[in-house]
Formats: sequence, C-alpha cells, structure tokens
Amino acid sequence: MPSPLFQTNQDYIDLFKMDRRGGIELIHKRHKQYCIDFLLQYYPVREDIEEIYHDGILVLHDKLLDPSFQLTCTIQTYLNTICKNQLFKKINRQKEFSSLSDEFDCDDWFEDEQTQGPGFDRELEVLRDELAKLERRGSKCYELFQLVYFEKYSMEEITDLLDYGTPGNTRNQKYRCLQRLKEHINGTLGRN
Amino acid sequence: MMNVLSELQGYYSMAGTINMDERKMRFQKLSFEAQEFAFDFESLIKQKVSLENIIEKLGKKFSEKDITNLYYTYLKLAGAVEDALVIDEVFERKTEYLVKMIERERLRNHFRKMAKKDEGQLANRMLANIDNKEMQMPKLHSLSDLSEPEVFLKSDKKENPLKSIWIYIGLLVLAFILIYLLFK
Repeated sequence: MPSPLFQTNQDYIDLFKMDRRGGIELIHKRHKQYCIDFLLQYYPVREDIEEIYHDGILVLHDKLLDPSFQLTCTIQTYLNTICKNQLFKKINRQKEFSSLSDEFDCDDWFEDEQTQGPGFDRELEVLRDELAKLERRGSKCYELFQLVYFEKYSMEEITDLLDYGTPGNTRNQKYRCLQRLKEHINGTLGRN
Repeated sequence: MMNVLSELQGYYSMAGTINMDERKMRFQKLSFEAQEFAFDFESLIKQKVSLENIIEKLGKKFSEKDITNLYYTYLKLAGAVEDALVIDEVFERKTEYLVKMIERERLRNHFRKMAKKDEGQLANRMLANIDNKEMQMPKLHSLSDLSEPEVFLKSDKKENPLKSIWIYIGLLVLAFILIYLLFK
C-alpha cells in the first residue's frame, strides 16, 4: 500500500498500479515544477517546456505498464533526464556529457512516434478518422481497444472491468470489434 | 520457444498451396518440438475445443497472441474460416498504433487543462492573500473620506475674565508663603 505521504518511487508506482489515472495525475503534479524549473535553465519558452514535460509523463506512463521496465533512479531524475534529452533534440543542441560517471542518463521516448508508426497510407487515414469517431461516441469497442492497447490490461482484468463474463468472451469481443472495424474500413475504401 | 510457433505459422501458411505428399515431407522437416505442438494443437481443434481452452492448455509457454494467430491460420488452411474473417496482424498493429496516438493526445489535453486550472487556482490564492493583507492593515482613509481640515478659529465663547485674576492671586499667595517659610 502506498504511504499517504507519497514520498518514495514505490509509493507512486503502487498508487499507479491501483489507480492508473489518479496515479499518473499525481506523478504529473508532484514532479512538474521542479522539472520545468530545471529545463528553463536551458530554454526560456515555458509553454514548449510544458509540452515536453507532458510527453515525458506519457513516456513514463508507457514504461510503467511494461513489466520489464525497472526504474534505477528517482522519478524526478528520470523525468528531468528524458525531458532534457528531448529538449536538446528539439533545439538541436548537443547533449552535455558530465565528468560524473554515476550521473543518470536515459534516451527513453516514444518509440512508435519516433519511427512515425507503421507508415502512412490511405487505410491508416480512414482508420484514424473512424477510431476518432468511435472514441467521441463512447463506443464499447473503442473502450475495449483503449484498455487492451493503451492501458495494457490483461484479458482477465478487462473481463472484470467490462463485465464480459469470461476472458474468452472478452477475447472474442475484441476480435469481433476488429472484424467490424476492418469491414467498415474496407467498405469506405471501396474494397471487396 | 517462439521459433516453434513461427515454424508452424510458416508451415500452415503454405500448406494449403502444396499437395499432401509434399505437405507430409515438409512436416517431417519441422523441429521435434514443432511437430509435437502441432499434434496437440490439431487434436484439440478436431475435438472442437474453443480457442480459449486451447490457449489455456497450450499457452503456458507461448503468448496468447501467437496461438491465436496460429489458430486462425490453421482454420484458414482447413477452410473453416473465410478469408474476410481472419484479422491480419498488420491491421491490428495499425489499430493499436492509432489508439495509442488518440489516447496520448487525450491525456495531453487533460494535462493542459490541469495546468490551466492550477494557474487559475494559484492566481486566486495570490489575490486572496492580497485581500487578507489588506484586511489586516489599518485602514487608511482616502482623501475623500477626510472632512474639511479643521481650522482653528477663534472661539466665539467669551472667557470668564475673573478666572485669570484668581489664578494670579493664588500664585502670589503661594509665592509669599514660600518666601516666609524660607526666611523664617
């Protein structure tokens, strides 16, 4: 159980495991000011730095969902480091190398966005628009996709969250949703 | 272990395009583990065991996703599933990628709103602090509050003239008493 004072890495991580949205919001709030002040040393535009910070939090969100990820420093140090590296890339500034051998360094960022995803094509464009519509409509299929692909819940957890009865039903529902989506896309693209 | 399913994926994918003799020959060339897995896998499918149960029985060493892909590939080979019902991995990866992009943007917007709300609350707190300080300081009258400056005008009241005389007489008497006592 996380301590109510949320002082250590583990406290934040435990909270995130119990409540992902609440946990990431608290991490965002508690570490923001220090990170922003740290980055302002290198670049004066606060709005740009805030955007980088938001993305840094999203990177941390993805990493915390990866069971193989291990945080080897404090959350604050991690955020400061990855945001600073990303800032330097954006402003085309050379990374500074410290003489301290034990200084933490990390190049984590969005892997899929860095490689621009699976390559842009017409199907992707239509699919993007259709998913956006499903999200706005509050579609159950979209909710399922969100839990599977973004929140990375297991089938068992999703079964409980969405009350699908068994993980098998959940799996079948996911494939039915993908199937309907694909048929709709093919229809829009004029494919047989 | 991943190689076992990859082997079988490759085998089932092309098995529908070759004759039975060649299929048997290619099957013999699969690794022992792949052949063993294929035997268990195909037995379960022939017994009409559901995909969920197949994953439960065989999924301890392999990922659910890989077994599911293999299942659909086999059904396609067996002619039990039409092409249109097979969800290709490429399409699923595109869906996954786009859902992540949409959700990240939703969270970014949420963080931006949180930042604006915090700024608003900070501004309100600062204003409240200023108000509190103003309340604690002594009130300064504004110029408009001040009445006309008092001008000391000569009073119209007539003072009693005898009062002053009696004061002087009293002081003289006191002075005489003091001198008498000094030179006594």
